[in-house]
Amino acid sequence: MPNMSIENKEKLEALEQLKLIQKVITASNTLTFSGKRLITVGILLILTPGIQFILTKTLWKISYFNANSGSAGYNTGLVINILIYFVLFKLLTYSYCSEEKRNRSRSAMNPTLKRLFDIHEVIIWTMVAIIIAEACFGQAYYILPMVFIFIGLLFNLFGRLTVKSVLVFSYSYIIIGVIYLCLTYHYIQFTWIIGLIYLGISYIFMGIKLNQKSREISHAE
Amino acid sequence: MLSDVLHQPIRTQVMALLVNVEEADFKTIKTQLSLTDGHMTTHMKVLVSNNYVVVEKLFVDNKPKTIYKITTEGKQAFLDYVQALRNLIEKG
Repeated sequence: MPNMSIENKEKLEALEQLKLIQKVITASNTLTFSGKRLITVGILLILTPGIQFILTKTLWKISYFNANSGSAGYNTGLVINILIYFVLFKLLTYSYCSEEKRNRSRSAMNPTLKRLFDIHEVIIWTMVAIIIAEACFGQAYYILPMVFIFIGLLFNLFGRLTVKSVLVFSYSYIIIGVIYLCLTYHYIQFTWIIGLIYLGISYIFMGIKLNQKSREISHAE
Repeated sequence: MLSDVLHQPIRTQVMALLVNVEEADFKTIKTQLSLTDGHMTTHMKVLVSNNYVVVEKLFVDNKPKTIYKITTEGKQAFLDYVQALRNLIEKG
């Protein structure tokens, strides 16, 4: 009997140690992500339909913006429209989260995550270039499905190394992207608003989850 | 048989962190694992003396910075330790 209890105690200890190792690895990966940045982007995404309404009511009323679909003026308008969002998102997330970014240590990062962060920038710039190209060639309806699929793939990679909710949302983005792709030729008004609001809410949710995890880590021990 | 060096909660955590990130500075390890300076110094000494970790001291913006890097030996020892833990759980 005493032998049994020693064996059980050893097993229990081993299990605890394995849990501890798993916890440390997940925690160190989670800390490399900024929950605050995700929340900021999420809020901006939810506000996007409103911002677009203002842009339509102001900028698109200017003569060359008001040109026919597919014309050079219209395409220029689309590109300017996209660039406005890009600059707005970059400026707000940069100024709001710059301190956090400064504090984040890139040295203590999983090498795979480090590589992912490096290709992340390339993917974002590629996405912006494709969006502009699609807009110029009158293929604007492919933008939303493509954005969802790209973001889905990116978060899928990050999710595998951090919290489960990121992985779950990544699959939902890919599925939504494919659905949007199927709906491309059945234009339904306002679907983009629903998509962006979902994207915004999910970003906020993931941001909160990552912040919670970070707090748990800092309050642990 | 579990390694005496690694079968200690603080050293297990330090090694798990270093296996994941490969290298980290003193402050990062201390903050991420909520350790005290004393704990850090004591346990890092054990890991360094067993050649599981190497220390690199450098100056960044005129401030001293201590960086700990996991060695190949350390990585292997940690993987063996994890396997030993798994074997123990699966045993019997």
